Amino acid sequence: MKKIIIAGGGHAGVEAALAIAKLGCKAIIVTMDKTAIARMSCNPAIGGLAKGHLVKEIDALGGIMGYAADLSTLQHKILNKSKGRAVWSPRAQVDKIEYSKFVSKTINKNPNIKIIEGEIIDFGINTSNEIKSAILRNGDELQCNALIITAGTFLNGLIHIGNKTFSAGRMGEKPASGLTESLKKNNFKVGRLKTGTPPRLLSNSINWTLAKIAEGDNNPNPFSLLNNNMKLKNEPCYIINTNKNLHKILNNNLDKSAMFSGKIKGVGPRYCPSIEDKIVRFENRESHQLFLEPEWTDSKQIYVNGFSTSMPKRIQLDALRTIDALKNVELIRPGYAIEYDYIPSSQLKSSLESKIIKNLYLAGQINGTSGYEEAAAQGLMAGINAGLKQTNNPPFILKRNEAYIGVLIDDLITKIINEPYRMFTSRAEYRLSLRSDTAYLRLTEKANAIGLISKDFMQQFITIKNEINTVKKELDNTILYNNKKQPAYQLLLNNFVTINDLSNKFSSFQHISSQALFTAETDIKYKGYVEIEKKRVQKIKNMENQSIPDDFDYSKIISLSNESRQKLIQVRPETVAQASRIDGVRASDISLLCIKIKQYNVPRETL
Amino acid sequence: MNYNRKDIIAALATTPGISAISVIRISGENLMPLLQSITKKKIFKNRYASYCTIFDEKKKNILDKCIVIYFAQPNSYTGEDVIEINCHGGKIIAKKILNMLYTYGVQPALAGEFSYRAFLNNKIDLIEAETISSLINSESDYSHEMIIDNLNDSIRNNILDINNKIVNVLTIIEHELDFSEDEIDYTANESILLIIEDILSTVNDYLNSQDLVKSINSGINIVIMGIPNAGKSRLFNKIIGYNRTIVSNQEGTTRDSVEMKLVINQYPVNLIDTAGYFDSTDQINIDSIKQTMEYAQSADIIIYLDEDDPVGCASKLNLTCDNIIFCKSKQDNIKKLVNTDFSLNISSKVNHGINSLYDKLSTVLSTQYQYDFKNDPILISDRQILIFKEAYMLLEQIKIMLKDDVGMDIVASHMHELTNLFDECLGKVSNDSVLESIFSTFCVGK
Repeated sequence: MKKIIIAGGGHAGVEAALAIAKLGCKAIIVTMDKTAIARMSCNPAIGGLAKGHLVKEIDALGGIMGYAADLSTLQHKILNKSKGRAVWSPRAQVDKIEYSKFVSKTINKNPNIKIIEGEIIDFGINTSNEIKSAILRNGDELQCNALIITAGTFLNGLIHIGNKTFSAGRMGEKPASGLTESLKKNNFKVGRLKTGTPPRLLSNSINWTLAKIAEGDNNPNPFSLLNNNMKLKNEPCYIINTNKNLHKILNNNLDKSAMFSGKIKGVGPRYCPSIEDKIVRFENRESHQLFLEPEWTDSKQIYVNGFSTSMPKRIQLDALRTIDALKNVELIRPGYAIEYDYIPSSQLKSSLESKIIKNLYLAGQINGTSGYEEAAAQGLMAGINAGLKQTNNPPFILKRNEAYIGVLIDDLITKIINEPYRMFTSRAEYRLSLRSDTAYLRLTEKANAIGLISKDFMQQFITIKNEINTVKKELDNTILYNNKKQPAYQLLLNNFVTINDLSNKFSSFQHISSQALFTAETDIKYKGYVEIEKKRVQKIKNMENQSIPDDFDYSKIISLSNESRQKLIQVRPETVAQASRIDGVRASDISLLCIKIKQYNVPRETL
Repeated sequence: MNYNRKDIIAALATTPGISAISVIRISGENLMPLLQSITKKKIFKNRYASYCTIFDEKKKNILDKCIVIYFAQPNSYTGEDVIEINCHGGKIIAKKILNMLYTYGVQPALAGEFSYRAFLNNKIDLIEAETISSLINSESDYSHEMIIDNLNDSIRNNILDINNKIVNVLTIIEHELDFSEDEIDYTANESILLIIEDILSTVNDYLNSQDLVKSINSGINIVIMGIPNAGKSRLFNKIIGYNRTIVSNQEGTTRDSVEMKLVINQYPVNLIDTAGYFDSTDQINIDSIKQTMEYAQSADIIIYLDEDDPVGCASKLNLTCDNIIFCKSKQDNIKKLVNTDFSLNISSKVNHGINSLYDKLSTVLSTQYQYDFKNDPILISDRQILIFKEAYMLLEQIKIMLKDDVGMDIVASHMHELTNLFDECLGKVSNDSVLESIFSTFCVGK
């Protein structure tokens, strides 16, 4: 059995291990702390805008994230319901302890997965430039066929709280050192990023009667197809608001924020900004919403969503106490910012294997992303591709028109990232056809073909797929009278008619799941728009098929702009489409490139 | 057609025919050895005119003595090395020089190939290429002036302006799709609708200007109509100033329509003399009458001639043209210029009323085709017009969607389509067939 070592047991690591095990290889997770498997280090939620799409896709590909989230859900909600179905995204508040416990149990039960406690500080390479071993801090050298690094924020991690700084991977956990240096030694470029987390509050120091209740949805559909009929919990979260006094306190102490005092070299995310960032950037807003979220059932520890900060502890406390509900609040631990090494992913192929060293894969936050879901998606794909390669199969690549995961990885390997990358629906040009409810239809058969899907899951999939087809067929074939004779599906094209309005005319629909009805209805409503979207993107697709020769010499095209040339030499895109997505490559240079490649491909004799 | 080759290419850059000089343009990589061979001269200064002798392929006989200018890459029209040979005019000398060049492996340039290379080397962009193409094909001084103005980036800037507006709205929409209700405040559909309507009216302005610009580019059609023997051909000849068609008293002399390009009051005009319109069973006549009616439909201005009642006769024909000038013809002895039905009295024979007809034409032209070429919206090619038409339709759809409260995801998708369209218009979206079709409308030598 081929051995694949995974450095890290976080969300990326566990998905990778499970995929590898399914593909008939041995997965060895090397983690610094056996009890930290699948730990949720920041917010107690899985999913959210665009991230919910990722979770659905992970589930459709046989990953564990959605399934585990369902089992530990405290509340489930579809976000963005006012904005069009392609951007509806499920999000679950989850019990962090339950989540991690369940995943850990699954990993431990799997005969093809082994967990070793230790820290990988280096790796060995054979003469053909392939990974041959991982070297641990205690001096052990573990032989392996492939290595997947999923180190999260641990590589040379540095925590900042106000002007205090100390080395750590997460609060209370040691950082990892050595790996960055061995990657550098092998000519990898390394960058620095930062991210933050809010303070945790002591539950019984909060005056809950002064906070507004935020409920989840009633009878929501779980993430995983396997959990289809599961009844999810609906425990409340609470909303409070910041105020002028709070803003003033933070404003007066900006020089003490690690972020603002210039102490942090890494670049922070624009989209998940710290509270001090928000106050400076949106100075006209008098108030920002904060969410008080329990981290587990009957949790004493409360997460303050929206209050990520690197202010000194004292100031965090003073600021929070200006809010009525938090007048007497106590911190369990302060918010903090963490700085860590990341490896720019233009050094990876679309299989997430490195271009420099064979059988070395990188996945998760080390690639510059933020979020559990982004990490899990990459871990899954790296695991799948490492397993496939070791069993002599072609790589499993998802295209941008197939999945958000395809968009995510393509973006990572072509975009120059200068802040942690978060998934957004706007990143997907095929957004209308990448709805979260169609993840199974898009991906499950593909995943099943390479052995990633369990029998139970496949059965569920076939059931729902048949249901959807039945509904569509009936709507196509039934003629209804509404002023004039027309097929039933045409009525649905009206924005204001829903499938529920018609279902009294179709007795057979009573036995069909609400998910299948929803998907069939939305497919019909979106069909015309999806066609238009497809046509538009066809142009891009043509470029997708135009590959760039490995030895293509950009320096010879004198007419390319300097910036474009530099970026192209740096990234070395595999196709013209990838080239067109590289930040800083001008559009006009792309048409040049197309023609130059055509010329390049003309054999010399005919010139 | 294959533009994608690396050959040295050459072509006559001036109009073929009799002229004082002809210019042969050569473009390719590393042209100095070729230049030295054909001139037996060693040193050429970059971008300077040199007087030299051009020899035949055997380097023996003199083909011509002329001025040669050498442009070293990248500072040339195409961005490659370029040689311009200013040889003596006439077909034969230029042809001999070209034939001599072909023996060196130089290839005849395809239509537009020089500009295509200029485009490849970032010397011109797509809009400029289209402008050059129009410049070559345009027929009047007026349209030249217009086109040169366009060369000054105005089209590009205008399209960019529109596109920026769209991108701004799209940014708002995308931002709101990316964040949940709790995180940000949403913009109301109505305010997005207002911006869309604004963009729509701009695009509409462009489309409204198109008939006009096209007419000016290809000439405004002035059609002379009337029953046989009303004096159409005589008037036609009077206007163009010399006898071109046979004029006789026998009915139906002008069987086919005759067309002449001329400039009236700075406007390019196609003056068309048609066959007389009358009932006939003669097949030839039926065909030419059919043709006359087709001309009438494409007419921008009709001059309707009749000896007795031009207004009455014309009204029987259901003419759709908005600008009809009625003329009572053969009024050799009448001094009055205008009748009570506003028809003009003219006589081509004694030159009566022709000046007032001319004035009337000028007035119609300058009121109907008044145009500020520097500031008014202009599109220059059919491709651009097509794209604007498509954009207009999309904007209309978006308007309806916003009113119907269709999901913002769908609106955004259509907005992306819009920006794509304008990117395509600016040549940002590469499409080989589009590129080749643009360049193939060029003349050889450009």
